Amino acid sequence: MKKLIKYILILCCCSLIYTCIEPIEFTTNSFNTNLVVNSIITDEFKTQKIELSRTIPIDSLNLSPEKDANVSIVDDTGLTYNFQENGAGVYTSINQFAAQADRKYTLNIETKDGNTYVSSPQPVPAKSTIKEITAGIENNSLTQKPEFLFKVSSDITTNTGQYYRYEYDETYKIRTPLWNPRKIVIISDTIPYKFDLVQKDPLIDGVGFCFPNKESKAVFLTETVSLAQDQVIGFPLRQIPIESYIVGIRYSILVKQYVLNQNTYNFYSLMEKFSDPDDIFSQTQVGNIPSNISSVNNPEQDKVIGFFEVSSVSKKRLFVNRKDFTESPFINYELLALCTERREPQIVDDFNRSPLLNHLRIGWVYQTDSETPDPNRPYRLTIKICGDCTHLGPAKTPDFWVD
Amino acid sequence: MKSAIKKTILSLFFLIVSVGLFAQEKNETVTISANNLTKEQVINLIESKTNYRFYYLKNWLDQEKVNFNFTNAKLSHVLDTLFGGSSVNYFVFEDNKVILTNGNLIKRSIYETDEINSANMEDSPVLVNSDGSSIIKIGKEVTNKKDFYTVTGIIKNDKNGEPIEGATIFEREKNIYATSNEKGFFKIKLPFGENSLETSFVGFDIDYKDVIIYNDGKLNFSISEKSEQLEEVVISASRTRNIRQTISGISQIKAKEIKKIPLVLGERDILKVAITLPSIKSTGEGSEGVNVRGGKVDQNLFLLDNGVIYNPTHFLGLFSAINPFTTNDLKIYTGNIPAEYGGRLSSVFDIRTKDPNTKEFQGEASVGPVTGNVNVDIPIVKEKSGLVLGVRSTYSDWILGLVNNKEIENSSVSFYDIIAKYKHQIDDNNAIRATGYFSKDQFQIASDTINRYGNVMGALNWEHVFNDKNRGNLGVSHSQYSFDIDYDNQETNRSFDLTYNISETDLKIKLQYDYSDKHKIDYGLESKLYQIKPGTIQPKGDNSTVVPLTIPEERALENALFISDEFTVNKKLNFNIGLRLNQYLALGPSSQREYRNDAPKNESTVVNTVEYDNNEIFQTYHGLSYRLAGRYALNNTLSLKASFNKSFQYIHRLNNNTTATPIDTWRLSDTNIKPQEGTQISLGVFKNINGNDYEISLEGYYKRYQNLLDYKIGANLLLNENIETEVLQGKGKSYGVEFLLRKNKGKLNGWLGYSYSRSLIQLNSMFEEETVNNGEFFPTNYDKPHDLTAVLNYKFTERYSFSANFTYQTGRPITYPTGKFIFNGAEFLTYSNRNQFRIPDYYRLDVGINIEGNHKIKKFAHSFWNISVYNVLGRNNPYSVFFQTNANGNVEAYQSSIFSVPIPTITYNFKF
Repeated sequence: MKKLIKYILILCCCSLIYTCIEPIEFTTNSFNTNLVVNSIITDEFKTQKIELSRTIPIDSLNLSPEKDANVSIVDDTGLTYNFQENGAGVYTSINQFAAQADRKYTLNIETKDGNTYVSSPQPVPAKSTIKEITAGIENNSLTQKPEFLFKVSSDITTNTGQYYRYEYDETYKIRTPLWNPRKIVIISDTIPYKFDLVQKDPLIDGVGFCFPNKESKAVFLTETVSLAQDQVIGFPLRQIPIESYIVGIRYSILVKQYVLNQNTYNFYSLMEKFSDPDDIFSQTQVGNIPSNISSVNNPEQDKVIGFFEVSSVSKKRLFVNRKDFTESPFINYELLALCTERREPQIVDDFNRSPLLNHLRIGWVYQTDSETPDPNRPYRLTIKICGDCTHLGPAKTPDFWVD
Repeated sequence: MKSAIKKTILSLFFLIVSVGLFAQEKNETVTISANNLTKEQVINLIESKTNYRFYYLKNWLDQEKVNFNFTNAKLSHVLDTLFGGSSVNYFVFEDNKVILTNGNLIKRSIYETDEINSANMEDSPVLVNSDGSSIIKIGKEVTNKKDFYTVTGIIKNDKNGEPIEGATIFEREKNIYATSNEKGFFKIKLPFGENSLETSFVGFDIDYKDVIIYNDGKLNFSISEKSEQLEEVVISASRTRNIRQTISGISQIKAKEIKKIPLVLGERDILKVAITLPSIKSTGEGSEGVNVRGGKVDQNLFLLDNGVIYNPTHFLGLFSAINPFTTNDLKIYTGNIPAEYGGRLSSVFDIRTKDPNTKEFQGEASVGPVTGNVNVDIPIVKEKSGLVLGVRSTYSDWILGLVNNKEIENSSVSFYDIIAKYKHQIDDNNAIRATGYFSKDQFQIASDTINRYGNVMGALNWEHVFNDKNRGNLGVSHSQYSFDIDYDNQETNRSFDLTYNISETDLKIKLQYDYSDKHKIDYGLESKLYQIKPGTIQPKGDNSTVVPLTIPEERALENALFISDEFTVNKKLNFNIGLRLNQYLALGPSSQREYRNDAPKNESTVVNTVEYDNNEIFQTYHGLSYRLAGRYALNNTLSLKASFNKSFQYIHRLNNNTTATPIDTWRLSDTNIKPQEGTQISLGVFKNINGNDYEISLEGYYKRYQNLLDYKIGANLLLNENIETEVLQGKGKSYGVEFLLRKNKGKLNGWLGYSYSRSLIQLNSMFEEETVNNGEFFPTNYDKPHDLTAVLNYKFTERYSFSANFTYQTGRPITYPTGKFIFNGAEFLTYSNRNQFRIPDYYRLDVGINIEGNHKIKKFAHSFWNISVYNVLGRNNPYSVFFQTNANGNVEAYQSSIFSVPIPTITYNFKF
């Protein structure tokens, strides 16, 4: 009986804390198509880029780029920077330029349906540089499991507080579980089928390592306005579980630090808040986030999504080796235990088809020579992802990579 | 049954002794010879010779000497002789106690004794029958008989002698009834001859008296609480209040009555019972506050013994912070709020702590899975003063530790509350009551942030009777609500401690003047001082570089004069007319911004900032609030009620979530934030069927609001010095019909409520920045059109009963995504108009079994078990539906629910 009561108590409390959150199917009937402007102009001297698209239904997988628009940026001295379409919905500045600290910039868009949109003038925020990126192993505050944590700090400036946004671009070295320096090339894919075994080219096929690259997709914001000095200290940017192959060998993170205008910060902080609006017991009131770009023709109804952001930027890269932090093993992207299947297909079968060709085409790769004496089955194959890692990233070492 | 009830009755003022008890007394005989002794000496002599013990005051006994001799006589015989010529009366109890009472009282009362008391016969109109049966004769028979005679009397609680308000006396067969007033006084007209009277009051035993009416007379009742029997679950206190009360929209919940309703995690909860009424809704499990007739959460005034409580809930609204064991009753005014209350638009929750038992030490304890609760009644000066003390605390933390999950192990939730009430009855005309209340909550759910919040309240009340027609009440109270958020992460430089505090000091003088039978006037004044510290943030730890910031204090004084008249035109028609003149003075020091008229309020449109000195009045608002109610009784069982009223509210609760939370901030009206105003018109039909076995009511209302406070998308309301730039004020309206069917008696009892109601708000402005949904009316977050509640209780036997509680509600409005877009590689959403869609409907069934301990009178503790299953259908009621961008940058929809599985609980409680 005591046990039973204990069980009930635990049950109660579990359910008390463990409020149930579950995914649901969702569709909406109403849908408006709005212009989406993704435009970040920075103080870097470069070809500046603006992306225009349309909102799409929630269940849609297709992007809807806004083509054939006229895009330009004008500064408060009247200097105009024209843009040209360079890929669907992607507009790049015809000339390279950098946002100047004492200017204000206005974005003008004229879409092909004749509507014009204009932003409010945006100043360029003061500059702040990244002081350091630190790496370490810490326990996750929720799961209490150890993880790699990359934190960023900025140099102290003489400014009063500022608003910060971070992006990162990570590249990491991964190892193919079953690497073989040779590969099968198809000499003839019709009868008579002919295959050959050749040495891989290290410049094209690599040497058993790949370098996947990913950009951050979340919005990372912080501010120093509520602090006594304009300095970001230890902002946690990227967490990676300790057993992940991402930090299996060598890992590099490029951090981009943007200093934002306050209205840009407000825009992003709402984006961030609304992308995770639930806090079990309280739910943020969501809604469309006001933009600093508005329609000239129909400001009431034709709302623009997105923001014209003018920022100053600072970048820094960090490399880390796993062995400098931990001796613990990591879990590779594909477990060797799952790479046990081998096949030795025939070059040609009784119906004059080539099972070997079919296997190569669906992604099997050379593992070893066959142990059977049958000359029609010369190769032993394994699944591509076990013998090759290029599905995750290029095998070629990136230019910036330092081992 | 009758005899069993009577056995529990003991009172010095009103004594009812059954025949059965006297049988025991007759066993012991007395042999005594008195020779020129005083009565006191005779009593001492009897005490020395027998086991009888006498209880009396010496000054009741005169010094006349008596002489007599008795051998083996009945005690009653001896005492009859002894007190024959005096005004002293006596009663003998089974345990050889003899209680003497003063004749003055006797003359106004009737005593059920077996024998005639000669003292009563001389000058009292009350006659006690002499033939040993239980029929009581009232009045002296006269020759010229009238058809009806008036019987008056007082109904009191036999345990503490308190008069009982709202009890009903009725002659069932003749369908005649009367209800006692607040002094327990009743007046009933009965026909000549034999009548059977019975009392009815929820939570009390029925007392039956067979009477023969000869003439006008008096008859008192002393009724006992049903502490040892299963009661029916009834909300209404009074049989006919439904029909006769002028003001509609008043509900009364007796704390004792709610113990049969299935519990959430074993907690008996008076506020949860309130939500089962059709006019009261909550946003959902785990949200704070209630919405009354489409009003905002901040429009409800929670009073505990006249002191305001800002947050009457624990643990994010899952439990009420009002100790159910020390609570006597809760009156909820949802329709026409009496003029004595002000400062809130929608309702008043008037929670009264029970008066202490001044006679004997008494206690009750309860053990549930989440909390333990002990409360005691401590007499201090016998018959005059006593203390009620209640302590409730959760001990759920250790259970969290048992759970093998890191996330939960690192969470902690704890709360407790303490209440103490002292009452001192100085004399018949003066009583003082003092209440102290303290509650504290702390929670930390898998994060570095600890949230704490709590109430502190102290209230002092002096009740004074000037004369028969004039009474007065002086009350002083001070309340505080505060929360703090403590973020501690020494790895960063951002650790902080944020605090918020609101306090209110209230002085209220209320006088009651019974001008005539037709006019009963209440008048008085009330003055409140609000003080708000809207936020202070301090760095925490050595690493923190958070800048300390304090938002300047807000202060204001709210004064009011009120008068109301309960005007009885005739038996069928009466009115309650109330006026309340409000004055609101915003006090400095303060700096108030002026904004351009032709632009939205924001940083760039500030024209001027004006500084005001300490106590300088920088803004004044006046308002005349009226409360008009009328009732027309078509007959004894059917009445119509209508009301029309207007109220003002100077304080606003802010949050930017869809539901209320403990860290909502209250802000005061100032030059930029205007007071809220509300008007309500309501009309209702009330019908009682078969006595009051069934009560049916149908009420409709329409309300309009001005200056409801809402906020811009993504407003930052905490630590914001210029809150006016983030909030919007707009019009609101709500309307609805409410139906309630109640069965008060029988094995099966309970109620069924349904309401259709809407609650809408309009945020319109000439500036787009200050407009929501294109300036049209849209549903509020708590707009739930359909609401059906059924509470049923079935009594199998005296010891076992079954109860069930069913709730259905339309899902609350929500802002849904309408589309998505890709921004910096991640998907984000575009949204519909605010509250354009709804989450799925809510329904829930709870069941419970109640088992009473056995009824041995002398048992040390009386026990009571409750086994409940909350959400027995395991309905996964969505509390919210929300959309999250996942790690891959894709949008996913989720629903969250608080209690998604059936939750069984066992609660044990016992009285000692």
